[in-house]
Amino acid sequence: MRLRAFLLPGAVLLFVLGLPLVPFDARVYVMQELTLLFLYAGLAQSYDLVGGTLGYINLGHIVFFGLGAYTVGILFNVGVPLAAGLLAAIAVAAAFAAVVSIPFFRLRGAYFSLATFALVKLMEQIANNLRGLTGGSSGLKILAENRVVPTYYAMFGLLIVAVVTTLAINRSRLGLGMKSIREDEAVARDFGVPTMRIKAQALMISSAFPAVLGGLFVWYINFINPAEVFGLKMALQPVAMAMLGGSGLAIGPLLGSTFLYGLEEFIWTRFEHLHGAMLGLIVVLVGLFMPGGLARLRPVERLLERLGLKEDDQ
Amino acid sequence: MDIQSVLQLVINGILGGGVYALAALGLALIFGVSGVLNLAHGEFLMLCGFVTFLGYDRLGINPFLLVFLIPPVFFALGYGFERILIRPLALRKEHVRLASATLVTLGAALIFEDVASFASAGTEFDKSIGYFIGSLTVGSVVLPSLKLIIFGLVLLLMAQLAWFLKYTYVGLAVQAVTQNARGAQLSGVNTATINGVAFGLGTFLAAAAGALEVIHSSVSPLVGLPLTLKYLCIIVMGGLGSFAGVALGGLIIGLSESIVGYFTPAWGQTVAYLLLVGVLLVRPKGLLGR
Amino acid sequence: MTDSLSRAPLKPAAARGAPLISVRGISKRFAGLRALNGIDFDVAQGSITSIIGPNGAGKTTLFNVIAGDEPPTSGTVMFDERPLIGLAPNEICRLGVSRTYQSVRPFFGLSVRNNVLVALLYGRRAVPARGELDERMAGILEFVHLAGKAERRAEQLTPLDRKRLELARALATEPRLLLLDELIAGLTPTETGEMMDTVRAINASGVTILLIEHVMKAVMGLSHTVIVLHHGEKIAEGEPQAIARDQAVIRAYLGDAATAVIPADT
Repeated sequence: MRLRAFLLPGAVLLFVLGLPLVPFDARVYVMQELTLLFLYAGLAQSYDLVGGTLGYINLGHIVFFGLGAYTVGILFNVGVPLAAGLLAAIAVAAAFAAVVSIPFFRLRGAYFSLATFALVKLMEQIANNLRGLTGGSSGLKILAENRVVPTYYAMFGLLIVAVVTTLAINRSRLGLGMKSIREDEAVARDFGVPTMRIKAQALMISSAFPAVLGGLFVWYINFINPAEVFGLKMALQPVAMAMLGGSGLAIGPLLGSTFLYGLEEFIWTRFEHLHGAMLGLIVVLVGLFMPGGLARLRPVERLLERLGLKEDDQ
Repeated sequence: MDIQSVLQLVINGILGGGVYALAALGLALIFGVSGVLNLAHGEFLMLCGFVTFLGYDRLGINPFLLVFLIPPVFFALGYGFERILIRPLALRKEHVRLASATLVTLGAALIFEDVASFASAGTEFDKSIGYFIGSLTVGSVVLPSLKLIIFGLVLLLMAQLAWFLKYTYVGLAVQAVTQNARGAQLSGVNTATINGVAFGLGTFLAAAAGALEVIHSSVSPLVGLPLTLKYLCIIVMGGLGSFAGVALGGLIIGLSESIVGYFTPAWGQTVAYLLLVGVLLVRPKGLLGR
Repeated sequence: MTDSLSRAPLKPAAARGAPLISVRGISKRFAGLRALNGIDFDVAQGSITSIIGPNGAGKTTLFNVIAGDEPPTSGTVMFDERPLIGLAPNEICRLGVSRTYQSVRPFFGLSVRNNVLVALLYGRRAVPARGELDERMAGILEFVHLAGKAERRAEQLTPLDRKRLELARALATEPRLLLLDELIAGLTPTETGEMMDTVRAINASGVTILLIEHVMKAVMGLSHTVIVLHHGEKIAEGEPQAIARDQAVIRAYLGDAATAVIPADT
């Protein structure tokens, strides 16, 4: 990557890192907003490893988020510190990913998407029913504490790791294997690509991020319940963000999450009713007119090129 | 637990499952023909239920009459939906098309849901035509007449669908496109029109289900998406290309929810998803899929 | 022009050595339809064998069975004394079998370079070293006349270039057996001549080739042996000139009436 490419990211980095240090009135509010943005962006970015690079629209990505949240929450309540809890969350998610990939990756296209979505609903139900462990539908609480600043930095850090991981994978042998599966799985097999193994690897790598994000989430909000962490909105939002921004490109989910998040904020503050309908309209328009997402629009591509951020899209 | 109660549960399950199966069949038609996950399907069910309720509540029209009058309108709506939102996506690459269609139908679902919520705010949240006609008693099993009538209508509609698919040109064309779109096209079938017909028909069935559902139960503006997803699960479980599979799937779900729900209410809902995952693990193509 | 039409010199059968691939009793049934019925043949190492026959004769199905894309209902395929049936396609590729497709299928969304790279990185027994990759890539693209188009996306290529890309991808796996499914179909006479030269050059470097072809010029000009399939059965096998005169073959292609018009000894 050229030096020019580091300009914008560098500026963003400085801004984000420096923000908490500048005293101004709405500082905490802005940090909270950004923290949520980092969370959604991180989810979208990690989702896109499987949804974009591998080409399997995994509607079950959020399962790892919920697993991570509950793992950390439960462990925290019995005295396990956050760091160890997060490691446990990663382990749980990876194991779960490894196990489900065997049967689920035998399905294709819409079937895969639906089955993974059913998994989310299933996990929601299980979380609701295992009262003893998870607190059921009333949710799980951990000791409340103000953790705004560390969470802000942690989520941002994780987002950076997610982006870097995506860039690294896209250039690697593994990434090429994943893309070949996306393009034509049967032919990929004919040319030596061990498709089952690669799909499992992709899912496992992709699962680590929502797991940690989930753990950080419960640590931050101090309370989770099945309806929220396994909810419809939580599940579909990263997918919509990745597709809106440009699935398959590292910058896509970033663009998409920022855009959608900003749009939601705008609509909420400016209009009194029909927020959902307006968002729905935007989603429809993007789906109809921007199949490649924002990042692949000509003017946006040109801008990215000038900023040195254009990626190899093939 | 005596035999009567078990029978009662089974009957309830079947009667409940029937309406599910109708809407699921509609979605199976759409999915089978166009390959699109129509996330807005459940919204049409909800909208028709809503309109049916309004027709009964505000205009005093007999709801059973409405069941015959309103769903046909939804055929046109479904056809138009496909024309405007789905047809433009036809030329895109496979996984791009799937993603675009998902976005488009999701957006549409959000719009419908929000508009319906907004329009019904201030009036009752759950629309239910509490139509009581008493019940039949066979032996010591109680068969609620209303549910029986509705089930009868469901069976009638399914029979009509089966007849349509087997004995009309359009119906055969629909089957052909479901099995092999390219082949059908090469045989002279206008797949674009058939896609539209499938959407129209599927939406019609969802609308009928909605009208029936609101008669004996209730319909809330928010019920669209969760229902759609449940139907999609039913279809996937039943297997693509097999409408019998879908009917079977709907039946199994209805039954298990009823039975399991009786013993352990909490797990009633879980069952549907557990079954789906279980079935797919064993048979990736669904129960009766080809 | 005559050059590309002339056949490569025939080697006497005895000198060709043990068959690279042996197909025995391969049958494939699809829900009541017999796509292949008891197919037997050997392919000599270093030879070019054409498989011809009317449409629907089962030729591509045969390729699918050999490449591991479809399991046969019965029968065996031995590749270098090793059974192929039951192995996954990616394993078969590593053993040295590569192919192109009748409906040309490069990885459309990937660049020419990446198309070949997938095969280079995954299709060979050992993952090659970094430096070696660039060299191999350049060599392959040069050979198929695609040098200079490396960064173009596959879907933007002309049909001819797509075929070249498929060839490049297949060659990148360093195959010992190359299955070419209707490579020549749809090409102009000049392009046909050029493609035939390329196939000959590949064969000259030691690769055994199995061709499915309809273009008789290529079949006659390239093959050491021709196998004729009809309705899933092998109805003839032999040298090209003999096949052209074979009554059973003529009947299969042109129907019974034709054999009355075309005498047996032409």
